[in-house]
Amino acid sequence: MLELAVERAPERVYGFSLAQALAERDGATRLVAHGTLYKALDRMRRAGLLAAEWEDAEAAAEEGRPRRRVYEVTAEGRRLLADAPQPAPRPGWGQAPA
Amino acid sequence: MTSGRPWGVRLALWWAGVYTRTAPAQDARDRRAEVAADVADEVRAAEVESWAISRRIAGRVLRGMGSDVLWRLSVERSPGRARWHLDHPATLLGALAVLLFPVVVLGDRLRAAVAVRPGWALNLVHSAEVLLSAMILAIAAAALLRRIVDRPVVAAVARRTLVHSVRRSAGLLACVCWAAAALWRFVPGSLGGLAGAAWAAFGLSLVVWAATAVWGWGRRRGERRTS
Repeated sequence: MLELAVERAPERVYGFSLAQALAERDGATRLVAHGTLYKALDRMRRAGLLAAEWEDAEAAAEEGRPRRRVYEVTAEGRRLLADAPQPAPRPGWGQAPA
Repeated sequence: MTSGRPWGVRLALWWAGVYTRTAPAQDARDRRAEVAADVADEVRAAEVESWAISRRIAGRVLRGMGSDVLWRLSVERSPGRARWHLDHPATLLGALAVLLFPVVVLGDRLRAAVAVRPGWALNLVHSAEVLLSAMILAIAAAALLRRIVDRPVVAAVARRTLVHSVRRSAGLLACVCWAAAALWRFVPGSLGGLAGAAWAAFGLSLVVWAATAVWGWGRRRGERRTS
């Protein structure tokens, strides 16, 4: 999730955009559940990896929708992401794992 | 206004209202607003008919219910919440009573099915019944004790209307009697009358609660009309 938020920077991400991006990346047909998504975002926000703020009410009203809560990866989040080990690519069919 | 929304949106907003109810105000407001924005975005982005959108949203709600409950439990670990719950025990007692209901029903089914030779499943259900009932009784006792120690009862009654106080007391008594009746099922037959008395008190307090709730609802409705 942090990775996706960094990839999309400087554009700020919000709940539904993250759910869509996660589904696209994993090739999933279903969007991630509300509970799973917002619990994870809340934990990362409380841990200081993400900063959250509510967008301008007028901008949302102009588009005729509720305000979104937008997220941005903090310096701490970027540092953690840079330090994290890269996942090994999964072996395809017929290939022996390294 | 509400009837124009797809039923999936209404379900998502209703569920968000349920699990954020009586949560810390800021957390509750943020979560409800976030879910509202999410489902609005999903409806706007959807290129399918209303029924299909609703089904998709309902799927996201149902799959995330476990995480929602865990989130709520994590929020409850913040400082000062235990004290808040003792001042407002209705949420905890209600949640435990809702949990106790399927456990008691399951226990009755199992007892009927394995009357000859009790198995581990029955012991597990018995333990759950005892644990939940004991928790209800302990919370009710702690809340009552706190109320008696910290605030004079007369002042508490004067602050609220009498009917409101009666309704809250009846709700509390119903929970306690139900838990007591569930516990007494483990007591040998000679004290069976006590279980009967607990059930009777439960029924009576439920009737009083319902009557005062209807009365209060009618009064609020009347006040809204006049204003």
